[in-house]
Amino acid sequence: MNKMNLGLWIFTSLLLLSSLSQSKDKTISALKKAYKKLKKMLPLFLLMMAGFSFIVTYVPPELIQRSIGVDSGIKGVFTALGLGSIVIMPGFAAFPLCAALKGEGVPYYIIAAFSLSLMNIGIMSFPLEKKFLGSKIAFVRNFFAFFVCVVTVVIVKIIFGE
Amino acid sequence: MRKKGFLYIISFFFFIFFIGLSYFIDYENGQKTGFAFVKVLTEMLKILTCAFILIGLFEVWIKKEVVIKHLGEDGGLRGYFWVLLLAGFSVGGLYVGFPLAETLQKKGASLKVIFAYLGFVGVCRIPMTIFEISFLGLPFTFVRLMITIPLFLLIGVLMGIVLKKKGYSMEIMR
Repeated sequence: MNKMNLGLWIFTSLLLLSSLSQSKDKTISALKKAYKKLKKMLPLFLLMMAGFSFIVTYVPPELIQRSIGVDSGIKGVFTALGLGSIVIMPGFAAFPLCAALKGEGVPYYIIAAFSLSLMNIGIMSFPLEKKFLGSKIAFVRNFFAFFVCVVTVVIVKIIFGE
Repeated sequence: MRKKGFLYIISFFFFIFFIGLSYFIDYENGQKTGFAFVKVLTEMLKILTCAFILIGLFEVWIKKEVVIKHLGEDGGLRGYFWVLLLAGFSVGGLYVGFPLAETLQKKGASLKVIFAYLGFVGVCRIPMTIFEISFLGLPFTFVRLMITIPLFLLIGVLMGIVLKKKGYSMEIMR
């Protein structure tokens, strides 16, 4: 993941430099826009990250692993969906956890329920989403994302037949 | 809105106070929380800073006509292909997706394309997908992509059509 970050920084710097060589004013205005956007979401973002750090401390991965690992079937799916919807976790933390679950014999469809809801449904990040989409549409988007998760879980269950 | 901002700041100060106190009285879980916070924040800011600079550059350099032509109401199927690609190269997930969607709307992209993008950005970011393959294997990731991409495309189009009829705009929401 660090290589990816480095690549991202190099890419951004190169674009920024070429922008600067074309027009100084436009580049400054781009940076101002970037700052404005970042500032807009920073307070909520800080709070979300605070929430995340509470979760990783008080609800350690082992606990998530244990609660997802115990039940399979519909109950297991809903536990995984619920946890995935509430918890905020970046990909670099989530997939190792998923792999650990797989190693313990947790079937793919439960892992799909967890990883998909993690990436697409955000209960804790709802205030932030609301700021961009409005609460009604933010709710609709999350609802549809939930629907996609459920459909995917069912098909994964059928295909992998676990 | 301003009242809420104040609330966020107060809660955040409580959080900082809690961390500080934990170090003072040597409360281990509090210290762990602080450590996790700094770690995830630096990790995310590394990505977000770049992402927002890129969005800024996009806003300044990409002409409105270009966005309208390719991602607008009459952009056709190509528009969905472009946002699929855009989602593939997005970083930071939905947190970056929302501001970028806002920019796209400002530039004249259609709501169908924007909501398709918001669906795609959760499921087909390339770095995330590669990471997923390395941990869960290609068959799983392949099946997941094959199901989620068409579904989110369908939902994006559907939401776009309905919301357009209702005169929805992300700008009005604030």
